[in-house]
Amino acid sequence: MNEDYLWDKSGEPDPEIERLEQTLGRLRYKRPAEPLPLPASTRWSFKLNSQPALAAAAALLLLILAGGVWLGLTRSNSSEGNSTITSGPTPTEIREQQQIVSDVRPSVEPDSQIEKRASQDEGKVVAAAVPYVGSRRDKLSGRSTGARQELTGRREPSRSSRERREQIARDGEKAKEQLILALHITSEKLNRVQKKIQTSQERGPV
Amino acid sequence: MSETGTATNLLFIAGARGASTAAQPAMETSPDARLVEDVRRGDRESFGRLYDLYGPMVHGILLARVPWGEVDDLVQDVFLVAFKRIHTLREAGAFGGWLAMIARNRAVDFHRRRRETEELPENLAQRSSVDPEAAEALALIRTLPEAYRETLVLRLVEGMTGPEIAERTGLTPASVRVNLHRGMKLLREKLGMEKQP
Repeated sequence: MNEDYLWDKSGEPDPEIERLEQTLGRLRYKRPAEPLPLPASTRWSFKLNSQPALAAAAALLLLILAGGVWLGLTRSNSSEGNSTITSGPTPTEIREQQQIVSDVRPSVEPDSQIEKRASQDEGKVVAAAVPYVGSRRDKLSGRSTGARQELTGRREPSRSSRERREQIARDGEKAKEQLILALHITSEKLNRVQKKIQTSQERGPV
Repeated sequence: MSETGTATNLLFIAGARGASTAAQPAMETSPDARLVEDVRRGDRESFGRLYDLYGPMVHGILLARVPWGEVDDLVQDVFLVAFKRIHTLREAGAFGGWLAMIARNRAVDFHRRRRETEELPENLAQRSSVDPEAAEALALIRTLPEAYRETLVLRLVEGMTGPEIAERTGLTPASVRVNLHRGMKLLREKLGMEKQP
């Protein structure tokens, strides 16, 4: 058998293949004279095409809501933080605050970014660090109390402000958990939709 | 879809280049893919062009599976379905493989519906309007495994070369080559057996 001729009709023609081509060629496709009767308009399959769009919209909405909750808590923390600062911090004090922030969460913000933000708005440095408090929040609250004492030059009523801070930290934790849960649910839904679309496309129309 | 149809489609998927793993660079779009994009934008003439280009492939795939007398109607059905669902095709470059799958599914659907209704015996419909020698050769090819059957019909009936079959159907050239070689070997054996007294 001439492999090349069978593959791409090159080389010496194989007599048996040639004979089959002549015989079977009588069944070859002939394009019909009439054009294909296409429908008036291409109907969109609303269900199939809308699923990813709806899922994406739902995911976006969830993210916006979760982000709004988180921002709201952040702002309430920042207003809490600002109220205890009664005098402008000196550069030395700013550096101390930066040290506190970098100790709590060194992997999130490099010192250069913290310094940049401090130069833009000094009062917000501590407030911005509060939402990032994780397992070491006790250390932060302890240190920040100390820092604030240096800033203001007087002792605050420690019990009520400490309780308030703890409450805020708890609320922050809750909001964080809710945000993570919302993101997790959204991601699951998107994966499910993606799998459904993939499966239906592989099956093709019946 | 029957289990055989599902298994066949899986075999073809396994041998297919597939849209997501195509070796084509991202920037390069084939002429056929551009036609598909034009159709998506509402250009019906481009779909007519695709009909011309892929008609032989669809005809061959169906001829390997359904009675000869039914093929022309089913070719039209396949293209109508493709036109309606072209927006669901993710990769324009995978149009050929996608269309081939529609054709195979349509053939499976045809047989499923036939089982549910009364039909005329196949031979009568066939022999009244087709060359007997060609019908006999086609009947022999139809006894071969589906992957070989389809490739041989595209080669021997539709006159497509191996590279053309690979390009149109989305199969890899290596798969097509193997199917052609093994299919032809089996066909020769059957032809040899037919000739024996």
